[in-house]
Amino acid sequence: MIRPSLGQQADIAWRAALPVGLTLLLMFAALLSWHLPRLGTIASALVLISVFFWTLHQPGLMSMWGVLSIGLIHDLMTLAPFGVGLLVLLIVHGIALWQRKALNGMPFLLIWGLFGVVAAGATLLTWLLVSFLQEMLVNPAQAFNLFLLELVCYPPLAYVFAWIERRLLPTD
Amino acid sequence: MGSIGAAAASRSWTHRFTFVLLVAFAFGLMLIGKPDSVLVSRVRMMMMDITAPVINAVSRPIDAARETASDVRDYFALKAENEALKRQNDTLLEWQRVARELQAENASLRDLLNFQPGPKVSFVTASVVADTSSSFVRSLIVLGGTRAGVAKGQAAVTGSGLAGRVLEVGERSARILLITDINARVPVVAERSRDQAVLAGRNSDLPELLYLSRDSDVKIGDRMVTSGQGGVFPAGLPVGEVVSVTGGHILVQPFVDFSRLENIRLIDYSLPGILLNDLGVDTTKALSPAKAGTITSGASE
Repeated sequence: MIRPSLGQQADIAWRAALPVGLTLLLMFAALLSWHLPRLGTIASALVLISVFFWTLHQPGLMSMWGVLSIGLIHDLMTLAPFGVGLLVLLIVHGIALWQRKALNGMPFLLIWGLFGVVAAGATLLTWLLVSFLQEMLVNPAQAFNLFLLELVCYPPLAYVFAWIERRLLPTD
Repeated sequence: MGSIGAAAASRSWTHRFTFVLLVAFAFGLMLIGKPDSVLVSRVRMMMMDITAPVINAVSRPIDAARETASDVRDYFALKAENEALKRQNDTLLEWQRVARELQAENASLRDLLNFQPGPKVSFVTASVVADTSSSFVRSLIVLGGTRAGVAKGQAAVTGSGLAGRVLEVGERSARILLITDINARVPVVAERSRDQAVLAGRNSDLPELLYLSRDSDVKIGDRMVTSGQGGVFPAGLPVGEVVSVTGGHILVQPFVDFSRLENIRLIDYSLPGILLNDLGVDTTKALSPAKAGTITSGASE
């Protein structure tokens, strides 16, 4: 067996780290001070979409350990009640992994629909947990806005992710 | 073949077990994060210290591009603005003359009364590097920490008015809890009617007035300023304007435009009140008189 060279190993490593790295990059990019109104919720939406997409398409590269690191960094950066973001992302990862085989080869609209259901559940759970931990009912309109943002952002992001997957990642 | 199948099943069970453990771990974090927020706050500060300079470096080209676009727009508006500024300058010079007269008069009157001046105000100006607001939280990260003299509890203001207060401080960065956050409580008073209230954030653009007396006379258009109660903010800082009075809910539009914050001034008023907890604290509650934050750098006003 031929041992891969250092360059080949580096090439394999960065490709393997791409889904998790890309998710973190998107999160930090969304947190940059863009000076645009109402952009705040987008970081959480991007992270959820990315974790769902990559778990569905490249589960080997979006492992639960990857989700753990993304969730921890997200919760530390965004001042959300600690652990809530992580818990919700883990549950979304678990559902995507569980439904993965059933969705394999299904039309995009169906996958988008399932994502909508998962995102609605995830947003509702986040809202309930945040309200519980804050000991007051958080404005539900904000949670609904987050859900709409996730739903609307999924198709364009999934398109870009699929392009990256075809170009840069090995077939699963 | 059988042993391969058994190994795969074993791996699958291990995977599921580990996943359940991680979910339990997340639950555990939620529970320890709630009462022991000091620990979480410290880890957050470390995280901010590591990432804030990187985010700042990355955002420089974006800021530069935005500034260039803005410069082009500004160029066309300069002539008209110049004329207006000249007129404004004349008015301001007149005001300056009046102010100097009043200052001299004030000094002589203070002399007569044997007036004791309050502590000097010092400040640090910090640039906003990250907007960490989300559906459930309203906060910002600024580049400036304990090394620059930033301390927990300091008021965060802009030229327009009060933006929030310093919630967490690292060595090089700090987190500002905005007045629109659900945990923010600011004791305010209506400038016209002198009705006292507490401005409570709702995680939306418009915070709400709470604890107004039944016979209060607050109307749309009234300006709200800090009342100085609770010892966190000094009296008289502009906060916002009442924009809606419906069904017992009075909403206030803050003067600060949070989406366009670039620099923020963190002011130490050396007030006796301090904040007891990180989050969920009602600043209107009695606060123990204790040490005020010490500023090591920054200018004095």
